[in-house]
Amino acid sequence: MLNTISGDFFRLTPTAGFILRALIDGKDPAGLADLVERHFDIDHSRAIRDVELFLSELRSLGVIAGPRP
Amino acid sequence: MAAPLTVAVTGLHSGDNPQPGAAVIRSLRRRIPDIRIVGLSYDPLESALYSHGIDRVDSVYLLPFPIKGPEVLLDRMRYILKKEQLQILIPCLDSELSNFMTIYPELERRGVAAMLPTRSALDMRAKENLAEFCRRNSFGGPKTFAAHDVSKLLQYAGEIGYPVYVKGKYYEAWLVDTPADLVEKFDSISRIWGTPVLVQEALVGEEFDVLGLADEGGEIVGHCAIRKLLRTRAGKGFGGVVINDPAVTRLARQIIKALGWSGPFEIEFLKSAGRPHLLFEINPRFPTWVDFPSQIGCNLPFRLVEMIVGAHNPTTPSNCDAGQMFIRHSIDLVGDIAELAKLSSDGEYAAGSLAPKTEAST
Repeated sequence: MLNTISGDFFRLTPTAGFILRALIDGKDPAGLADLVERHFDIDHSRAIRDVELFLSELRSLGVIAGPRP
Repeated sequence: MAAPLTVAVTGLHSGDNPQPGAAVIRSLRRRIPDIRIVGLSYDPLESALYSHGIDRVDSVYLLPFPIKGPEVLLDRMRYILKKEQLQILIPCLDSELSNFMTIYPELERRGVAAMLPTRSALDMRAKENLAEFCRRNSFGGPKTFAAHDVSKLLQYAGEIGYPVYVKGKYYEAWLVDTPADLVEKFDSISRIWGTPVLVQEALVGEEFDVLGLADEGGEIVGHCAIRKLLRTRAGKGFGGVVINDPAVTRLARQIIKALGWSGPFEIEFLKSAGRPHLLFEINPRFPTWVDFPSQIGCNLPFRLVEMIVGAHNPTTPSNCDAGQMFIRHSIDLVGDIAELAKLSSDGEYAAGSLAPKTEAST
């Protein structure tokens, strides 16, 4: 993932890449955990944690709007 | 058949402190394959003189060092113009620009065209005047002072606080931690480049560069902005990635407009976390990485030639896509010692007759 303004770039895990692609495609953030659960066949609590951690990181980088942690 | 367009290019060394000439030639030949390039060189060992590929020169003439002044340069150019039908000149070195600007009226009378900045624009962006230019135009910049003697430079460094950068007026920059180191670097820089020598606040951050071309109204007609990814110990960029930051583009346009700049340029910014972009340097020429945007749709040396000849349907340089990147790659050129001998003894050389036979050329 490249921040086209700062030139910072990041390597994404498959899960992070999946979530980011879903966001770019306009998916509702509230439904991301369900999508991750189904796509990677993992339990729901882990999917929620993965999504929340990644969204928090995106907020801290200024990639998506919202309060920074 | 019409004679090929003949363009003179300087700055032909591509060593560890590379000059832009070879990159400018590559960019031109990508669009004008039959172009004739006359290399103007200050040293028979400038590496591009021995290229037999896309960045080759068709003939080369040694020039007197810039310190000899404009009259000596003009004498040499008169000689060269008896042998070459030069139409365009693209100077690629900071240190020679002033001399070329001085003799340009006569070059122009003799049919050689160039796109040079005004004397006041060149002076305003000079390293020793950049801090004042920033102050007058409310551009952020690192604290910078210029001095002609070492005691004054020591005083300025003390005011800024160590470590500081010590810089020559044209080239060289060293990070120094102590007054003793500063004295040593002042001596070495002033011996080669003269005075003033500059002392500059050492900021930590990322470097962003904008290369571009401005028309005679100070408007940018094409540009490419990168973040440097790889730097040599001397701070030279050996890799970069295209960015698309509207703030950087806006700032570059404001700077070029404020200078009233026309022609090629490179603007260097430094950005620390949480602070705005600081104007670090403005180079009055294309940078060494100019052939990178030329390969992704933004060929500014070719656009410069179009501007100079007044092309009726000029190209529109594309915007460079963020994420495109370059990494510099050094190669070994094959020459024949006879080429070096001819150039060293005669001060000129028509390429080809002494070129070595290589697998690539057969």
